[in-house]
Amino acid sequence: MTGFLSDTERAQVAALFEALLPGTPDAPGATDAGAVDYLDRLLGGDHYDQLDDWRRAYREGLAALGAERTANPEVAAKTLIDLSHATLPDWSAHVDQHRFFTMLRDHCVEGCFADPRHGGNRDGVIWTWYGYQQPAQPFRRDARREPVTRLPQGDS
Amino acid sequence: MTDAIIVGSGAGGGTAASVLARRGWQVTVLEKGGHHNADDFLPYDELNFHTRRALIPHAADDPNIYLAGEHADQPTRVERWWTANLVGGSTMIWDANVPRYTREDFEVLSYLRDVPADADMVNWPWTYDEFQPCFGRAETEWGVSGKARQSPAQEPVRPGYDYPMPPLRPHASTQFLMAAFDRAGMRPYLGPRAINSGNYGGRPACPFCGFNQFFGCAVNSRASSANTVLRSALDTGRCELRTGHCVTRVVHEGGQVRGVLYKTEPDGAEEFLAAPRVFVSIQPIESARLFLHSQVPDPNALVGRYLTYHPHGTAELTFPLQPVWVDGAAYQPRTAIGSLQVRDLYTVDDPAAPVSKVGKFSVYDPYTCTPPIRLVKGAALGPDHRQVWGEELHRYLQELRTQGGVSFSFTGEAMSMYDNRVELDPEVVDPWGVPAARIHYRHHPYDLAATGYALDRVVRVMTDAGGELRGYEPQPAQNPGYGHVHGTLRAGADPGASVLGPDCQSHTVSGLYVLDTAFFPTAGASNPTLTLLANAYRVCEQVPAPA
Repeated sequence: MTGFLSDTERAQVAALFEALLPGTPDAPGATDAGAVDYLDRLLGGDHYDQLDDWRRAYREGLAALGAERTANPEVAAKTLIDLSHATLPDWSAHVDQHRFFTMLRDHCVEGCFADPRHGGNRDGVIWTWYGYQQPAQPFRRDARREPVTRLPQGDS
Repeated sequence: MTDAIIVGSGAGGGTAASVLARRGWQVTVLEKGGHHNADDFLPYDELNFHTRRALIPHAADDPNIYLAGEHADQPTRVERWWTANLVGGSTMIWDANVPRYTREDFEVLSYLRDVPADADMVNWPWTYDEFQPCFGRAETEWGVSGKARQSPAQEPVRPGYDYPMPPLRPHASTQFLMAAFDRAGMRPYLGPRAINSGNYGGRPACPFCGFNQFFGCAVNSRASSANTVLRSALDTGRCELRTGHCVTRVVHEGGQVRGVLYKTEPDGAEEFLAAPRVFVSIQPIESARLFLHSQVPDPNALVGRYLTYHPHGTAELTFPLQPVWVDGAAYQPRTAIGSLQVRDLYTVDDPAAPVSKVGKFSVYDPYTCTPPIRLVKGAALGPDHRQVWGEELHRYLQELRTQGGVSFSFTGEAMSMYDNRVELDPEVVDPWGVPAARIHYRHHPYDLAATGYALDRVVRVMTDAGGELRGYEPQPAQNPGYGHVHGTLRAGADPGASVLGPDCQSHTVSGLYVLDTAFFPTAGASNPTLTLLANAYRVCEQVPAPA
């Protein structure tokens, strides 16, 4: 995948995402969904307004966190508690801690619950577990080629 | 020459085109955006259409500029998520929640017993009775499902009248909620929606896909300008719809409208189109911006003033002793949106209450009608326990899947204030080279008190029925923008105190009419579109034909 994150950064994000939505024996989590793949593709893309802000925030934020505080989902969970309360020590990034937490959480939710076409929610694993169907499915069986209403073209 | 130019093809523009073309006028509709057909809206990709607002201008290149009063030195770019530039306008992505404004809104001063000294509230220059036939016409031509006379709190209709279709299928929680409110002396009812509950107007019944606001309707069961009035206008052969036409200025001379200037390319030249009548319906902030940029004479400094957003608030509860309303449902979301309305607090005649003119609730089942990203991002386990994650997020999801739940969305009265306003931004321009809207807005404390009062009343009813509070979001004083937007070009009989006359024609430029909610003298306290539609029928039936 042509992404934005380094291998180290991917591992950090994967631990943080798994802490945000942990897999359990009964439920898939962010790792099962490949939520980090969603984020990597998002940051490597070129189509979204806030992309520069996000890239800067991830690069600086993940560097400030360091490998140790994101070594695995258990320590990442402790890190997230501090971030969400903006009480993490040794945070030198030009990024607000709580905003960084919100960004992580939002992207994790998107990587787990969005349509698999965006790179996360691998094979629709989260939808299958929680009971959401592929959004287009209600109309797939009898999908028409023609739209229901076609307005006359007005330019003349 | 065309008899009338209509700027915008949404709720007001489409209705105007339909009425005027059927009256025999030759009309030209200028729409900034392009055509979208139903199949453009599939798949119902929440990330694309809702999270990323695919059909809506983006803050990066086409923003509003917001000033919140105390942050006046820090203008911020905000998204105008309620504006959609495409044929059909915002009715292509709306909730289609279409209550009528009622006497309490038209004659607000008779019901608001405690008008704050610093608010500028006025009665509307028309009565509910004058509007009543137009409401019925809007409900018929747009296709509204609903049922009259379910509740004494409901909007009144004339004797013998009923909505053209029965209400949408109720949520499975409806009986439980009605019983709980009944014990508190309140009478919820199944609300009107411009969504088909059966075949109507050549369009099919809603299949309950669960994707509504921000999504286009892929089967046309939700009414839009494009699949109702605009279609009937085009059917006359007297309506020309031009897409990709951005109107940059209204041209006027000696107090008479002459036509408009438009661009078809952002970097292109302005071109002139002449007409003896111009009808503008592009949403209030945009209409104010067009008036200001066009230098429509404004002797009393009223253009852009009395902007109102409805105060909004939400509360979500779970019922630990109630099994989930649709047990065993294979897939979510799966119901039509917003069955019950609670309108018992529209006005409050209780000296002990802090407010008298309040508002209404739309009631949703969070599990069966909220798409997943929005649902999970908003997950909360209490008023001060937001953004849950980890094991707590699993607990929230588990609760939602196993226990009955309910969420309330409040729409309330807003105090009109002169300082809440739209101006032209001195620096930022939109992609077409027109100055962006610079907006000053703070809610009056009355709005916040009314929202808090109403939320607390329904939360108490629900906790008495065994509910536990989860999400709770009252309206803060700052408001960077909301879909229920009105004012800016107030209509009234007195040219010294209003921008438009009672016929929604400019006091200073004859032949220039405004049909979006900019004309609203005050905010009212219900979803505004049906009242916009009724007014468009009223104005366009009465406007004299060009000589």
